Amino acid sequence: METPTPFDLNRAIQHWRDGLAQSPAIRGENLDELETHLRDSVSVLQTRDLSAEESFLVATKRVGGGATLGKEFGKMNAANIWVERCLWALIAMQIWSALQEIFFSVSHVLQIGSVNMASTSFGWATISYIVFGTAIPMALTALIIWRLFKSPESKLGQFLEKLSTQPAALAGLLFVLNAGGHLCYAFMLNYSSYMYGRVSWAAFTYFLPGSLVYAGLIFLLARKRLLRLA
Amino acid sequence: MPTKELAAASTVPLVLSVLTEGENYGYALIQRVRELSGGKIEWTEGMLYPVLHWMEKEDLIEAEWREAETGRKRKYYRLRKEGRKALQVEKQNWLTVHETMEKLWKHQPRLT
Repeated sequence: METPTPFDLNRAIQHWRDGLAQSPAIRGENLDELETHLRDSVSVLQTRDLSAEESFLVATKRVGGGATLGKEFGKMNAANIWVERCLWALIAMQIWSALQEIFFSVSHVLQIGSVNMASTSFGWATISYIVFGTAIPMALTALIIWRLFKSPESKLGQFLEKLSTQPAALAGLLFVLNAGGHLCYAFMLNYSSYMYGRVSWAAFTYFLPGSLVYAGLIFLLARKRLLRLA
Repeated sequence: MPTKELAAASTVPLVLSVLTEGENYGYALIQRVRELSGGKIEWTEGMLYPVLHWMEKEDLIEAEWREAETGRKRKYYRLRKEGRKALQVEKQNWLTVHETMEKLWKHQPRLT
């Protein structure tokens, strides 16, 4: 026989609140106000002979679901949503770009792909360029981002959520990741036919300004998001 | 029970009207509307808050967080001058629609 776990109202409310917080449109003060509302509603329902759990269920149903509320709040806080979307798009782009360079370089060094695209024939080099340079990194990035959205309570999700509250650290880490990717690429050119024996520092520095601009944008957006969350 | 569109259109004038009775907070506002409409006007309760925030942004109402007698912190909303003016306009518009319909329905009592 399974004994039902006793209903903990505070925990249920916290869980409900966390669910609503998933929507970028519902923030700090909105959550406080909705929680007060829910608690008022639960108190009144409990005076009508409903148990805590029943009151909670009725009250949450009356308040409305996260998706509907998110949409309504979103009409008021449209800017929030765009800040959030752009930030995630930029983060994904940076992860993708770093992965791309690392994968591409490794595949080249292992002699399973080639960076020398001067050849006009469509062969293994071209296919490997598409597979290692685009398909695999893109799939991996999509997987990472999907996992983050699917299970924000996972280790990776918690790490990134915490990181996103520190704009400088977030931008810095992504910059280092990208610089690492560029470095891989520069070293890889060392192995390519036309640069043989030389680490291409030119290739490395060529990419840096772009990465710096992205890091700056990520920093600004993450900070803007943080200010709105407060 | 009014349609979704009618409920959405009437939220602002209803909130403004309830607030003429004095400052109030979200939950009590909803209760007041439910009570006055005899339970016929039922909002998805959470939907009221984005509307309240919009009204606050438009300077129709002002808000303040205060501790209630229960010890719970609540956000109280109060009517502003702009809100009173807006309510006058709303009132005129709703009465115009109402009177027009009433005249029509008087001439044609059967709506089939």
